[in-house]
Amino acid sequence: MKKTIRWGMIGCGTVAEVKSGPGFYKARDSSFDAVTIPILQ
Amino acid sequence: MTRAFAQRHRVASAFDTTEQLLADQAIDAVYIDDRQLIKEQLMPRIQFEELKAEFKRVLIKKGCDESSADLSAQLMTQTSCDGVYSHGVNRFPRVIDYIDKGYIDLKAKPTRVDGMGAFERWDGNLGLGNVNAKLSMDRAIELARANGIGCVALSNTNHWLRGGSYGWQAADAGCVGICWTNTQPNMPAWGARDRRIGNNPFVMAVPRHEGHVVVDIAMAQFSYGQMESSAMRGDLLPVPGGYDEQGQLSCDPKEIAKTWRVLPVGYWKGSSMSIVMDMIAAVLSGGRSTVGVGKLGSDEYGLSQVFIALDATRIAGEDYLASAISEAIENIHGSARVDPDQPVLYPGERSMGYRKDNLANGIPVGDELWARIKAL
Repeated sequence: MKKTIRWGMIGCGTVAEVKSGPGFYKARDSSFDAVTIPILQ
Repeated sequence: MTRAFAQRHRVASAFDTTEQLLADQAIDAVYIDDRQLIKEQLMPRIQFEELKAEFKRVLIKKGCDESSADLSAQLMTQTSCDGVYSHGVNRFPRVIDYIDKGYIDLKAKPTRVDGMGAFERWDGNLGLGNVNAKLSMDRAIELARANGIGCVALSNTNHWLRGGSYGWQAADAGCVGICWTNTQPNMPAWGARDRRIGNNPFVMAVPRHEGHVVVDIAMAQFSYGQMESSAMRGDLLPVPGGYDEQGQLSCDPKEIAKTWRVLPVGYWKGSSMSIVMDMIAAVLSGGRSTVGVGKLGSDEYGLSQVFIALDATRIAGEDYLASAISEAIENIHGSARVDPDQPVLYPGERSMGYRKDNLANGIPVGDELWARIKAL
């Protein structure tokens, strides 16, 4: 049974913007659903 | 930043904290896009008192007396606790290396050389840099209690580690604190290719009950520590921080590291500030200027520093001091944000977040570094 993997990502800096991020919604059976940034509040 | 990123990539949920994201039941898997963060998350968290005890143990073993070791250890642990790891725990092995090389004399105490009213000149005698700096600001505060203002110029001292510590110290005493240090030649003057001036960190602090306002900046756009951290993460700098080998302004910390041509803050303005701060520190203390420090070799010691305290609580009165600072901060916090998710902060505000987290959960220290310190 095919399942779409729903991804969350910690970190959305300059590398995530162009390198890591797009892969999660471009890849087959993968969706990019949540993000946060690891900054201490 | 998080929400803007989410919009650009059509991500449904943007969370404020890692905990909220991890609690989202709809998520199957989590990717951590930050090598440094992964390292930090895997790092053991050492409790404040345990880390301090370890620093103190090593310093005493090297020949330091109990009270200086305790003070130095307290300052380094507080620095790490405030999230400035580069000038706290991460720098400890270098402090020990400098002790072993004889640059830091653990038996030395600062001595008063001369005095003129509210101004005093002291010789650091190459003692521990953070202890010398703490004692100098203590003396500046004492002078300020008597005169409204106090100034200590310190020669022949060592790296003070986190300059902000002495700003926080003055503010804890209800004083406005101003201090700076010179450094080895590590930055080209504006228009120059070779490094002949220092990045000369500069600190100003204003006391405030809810958290002091403290600016702690080098005269370079980015400190070497900040650039190393960005390079480790594979991140670019948000604005140019220096020049690459082709002589072009660059945001790539790895390229800048090849040339050491770091950019002064405000271009020619930071260069001018660095030059004059160095001159004032050398002239007032009777110690070395950056050029003199450079003549000692590639290691950095024998520095000149200036510590100024103003008894702001007495000068302004507690009520006016509190209301004037609150009004200014409320005004800053009320700014129209460029990014709705990014608050506009006053200087020193972020340190409070690190302090709270690290006091509760321990201070992150890499396995390798911790093992190295334990073996000292």
